[in-house]
Amino acid sequence: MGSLSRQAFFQELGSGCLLPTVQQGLEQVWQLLLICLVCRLSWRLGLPNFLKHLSTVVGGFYTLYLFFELHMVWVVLLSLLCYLILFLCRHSSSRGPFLSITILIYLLLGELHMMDTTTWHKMRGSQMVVAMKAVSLAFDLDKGIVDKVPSPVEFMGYIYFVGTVIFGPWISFNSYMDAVESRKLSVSWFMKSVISCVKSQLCLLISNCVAPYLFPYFIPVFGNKLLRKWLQAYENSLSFHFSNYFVSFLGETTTTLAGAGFTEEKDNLKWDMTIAKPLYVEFPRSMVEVVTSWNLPMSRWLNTYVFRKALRYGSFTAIIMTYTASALLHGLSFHIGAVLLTLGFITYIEHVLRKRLSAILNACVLSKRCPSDCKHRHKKELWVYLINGTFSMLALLHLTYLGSDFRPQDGVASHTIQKWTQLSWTSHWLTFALWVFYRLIL
Amino acid sequence: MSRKTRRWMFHIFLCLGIIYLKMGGFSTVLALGASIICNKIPGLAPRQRIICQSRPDAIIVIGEGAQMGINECQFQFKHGRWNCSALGERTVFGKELKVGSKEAAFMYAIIAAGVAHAITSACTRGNLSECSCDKDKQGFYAHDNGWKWGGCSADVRYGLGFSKVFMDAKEIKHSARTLMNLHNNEVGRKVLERNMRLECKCHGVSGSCATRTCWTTLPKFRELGYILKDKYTSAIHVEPVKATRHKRPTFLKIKKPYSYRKPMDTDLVYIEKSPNYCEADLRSGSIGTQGRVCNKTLMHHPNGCDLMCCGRGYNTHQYSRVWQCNCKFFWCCYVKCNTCSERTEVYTCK
Repeated sequence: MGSLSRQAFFQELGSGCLLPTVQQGLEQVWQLLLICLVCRLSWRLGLPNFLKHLSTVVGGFYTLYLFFELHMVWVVLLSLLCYLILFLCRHSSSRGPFLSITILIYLLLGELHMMDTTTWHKMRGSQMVVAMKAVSLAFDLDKGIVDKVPSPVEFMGYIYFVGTVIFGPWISFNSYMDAVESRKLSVSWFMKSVISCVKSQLCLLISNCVAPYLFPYFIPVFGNKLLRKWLQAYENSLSFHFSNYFVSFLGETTTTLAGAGFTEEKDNLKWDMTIAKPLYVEFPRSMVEVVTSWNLPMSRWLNTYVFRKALRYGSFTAIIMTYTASALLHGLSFHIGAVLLTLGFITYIEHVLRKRLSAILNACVLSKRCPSDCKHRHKKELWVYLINGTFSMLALLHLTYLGSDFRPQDGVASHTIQKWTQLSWTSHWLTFALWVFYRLIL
Repeated sequence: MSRKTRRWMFHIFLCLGIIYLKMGGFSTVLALGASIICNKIPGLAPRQRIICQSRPDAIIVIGEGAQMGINECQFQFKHGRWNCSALGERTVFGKELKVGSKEAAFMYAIIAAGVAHAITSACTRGNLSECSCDKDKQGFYAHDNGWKWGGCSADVRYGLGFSKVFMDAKEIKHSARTLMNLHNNEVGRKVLERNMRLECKCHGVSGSCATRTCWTTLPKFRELGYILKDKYTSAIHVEPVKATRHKRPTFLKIKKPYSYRKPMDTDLVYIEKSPNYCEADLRSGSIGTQGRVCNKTLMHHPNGCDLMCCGRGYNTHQYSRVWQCNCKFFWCCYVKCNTCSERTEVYTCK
């Protein structure tokens, strides 16, 4: 009687978890998908541009209300504040930094004073996307990539673009203006939408119904007390991963359905938006590859608007500032901040160590995969694969460790510390050991 | 008749027979069988037998639930003098424990919880007609922070209701013991109800909570066993109150002088002190501790020989075990082993 038999478990899983998950998954997003589609179709009607912008603003408002109800005012306030700053600084050449500071203050005030934790946790994602859009627009204006301050309706259309307002991802202002021109409906566009939607539901099922019961029901590995802790940590980690993929594929679906997310080369249109690469995270080459594959648009944003601008202060400082910016965008959560900071150190040390090993051994053991024409002497030897395999295993262990304490609700600081103590601070110690090793081979 | 004709006739009769069963013959056979089966189940009260006949599909589930309760009872008390063993050796709807003790209280609660648990599980799996998903939770906003709810969750209310109707159907006399049984049955069901677990997962950009999927799950039955065991440890001694001129007990109150406080509806209650369970006594469900295995090295522990054997002492049995060990293969070609032996002592109460 201690646990259900496997057959009984799978029966109960089917009716108790698979069905409700699919039902809820579709039930909560079908209206969003419908609005994206309506917006796309209406843009094909040959409306004047300001009506197109207006229609996506209306769709975006309704969608925000659908998900956040009256709490959507915080998102609206943020966007109005951003436009006010842009307008007041329209003759300045430092709109980017100034707007960034303003947004930072708003987010900190919001988190600390204006609303409760649960509400903030719900809409943190949307706030983050709005902030990223506004900051990118400001910096692009400074650099002349966008030649003038957009009109209010254009700005609001960009901010409230129905395809990205709830589940992201961030897209640049120029991408949005391209989307407004409204490409033809096509089979490849429709297929991309459907496939992404199916993938998102599949990831939702894995996140809810497979990952939490991976051991011993799906994979009959029991293990002793120590191993069981790590197996459970891996389950939590995997569940969190697939929740992220669900949101990413859903973002792909809504963005494509609403008419954005394509690339165009000489009349060759491809609907190829990619937000996350699950295979690169679950079977990682390195932690560097993991952090970029987790959310590609966000990686691009952080690289363009934070990392490159901070590089003048040194690469280590730039990396730490990048992770700090990422943590701030995620809100003042000790737990997320701690994870991201740890991740920053892990990726930096791995990167410099592998770079050094690559130079010493003259082999393809860098954090990123070598192009086919690289000049390393050793490329396909067995020991090269062994070294890369070892780093992959390390990355898997780091992922298990860092993902083990994600919960449906925000944890308190003591929970993160407690979880890492349970796992003996393994990743921290390993990272320290690698750093010592790196200093030794300098 | 020719051979072909006979085969043809056989096929016709076979088809007609199948059609007859499809049309309803099978239902008649099933109903008849149910009636016979219900009458043959020992220990069913008349009202329970009626329920059994009207819901034959549920009676199997009820039996499984009661058996689950008894198994859990035996697990929870496996180290005690009383170990729930007299119950399991008879029918699953066994005889009533005559003594209204704490042990009887636990037994009634765990069986009521077991029946409710089994019915709820069967509903979730769709194994029972007349019940399925918890329909209140489909497509509505629950009060839980306004989250949208959906899908099929364990419908515990049906299981609780059915358990109440069936288990309480046995308690028809107006006596202190009846009131005790009804109270403890309800405690078992309440423990199940309060330990339903709501599992949720958040989904949103970078781990935020823009959307959430939720479902309720039944707790593992062992958890209920531990909870009821704790309640057993702190069970309340009660006595009946005769509040009418008919001199029949109306309600139970805590057994203290000049106190009229009623027990809480989450406390197990008993009306008689427990016997020591040292000697066999079917009235109290005790089979005695003679022959029980005990542990000589444990002092002041229920499984220790001093307490388990009630001071009567214990017998020591010695066993030797011999097996082949340290086997080695020699080239070529034989295996040579040493002989290992182990001596163990087993203590049983006199």
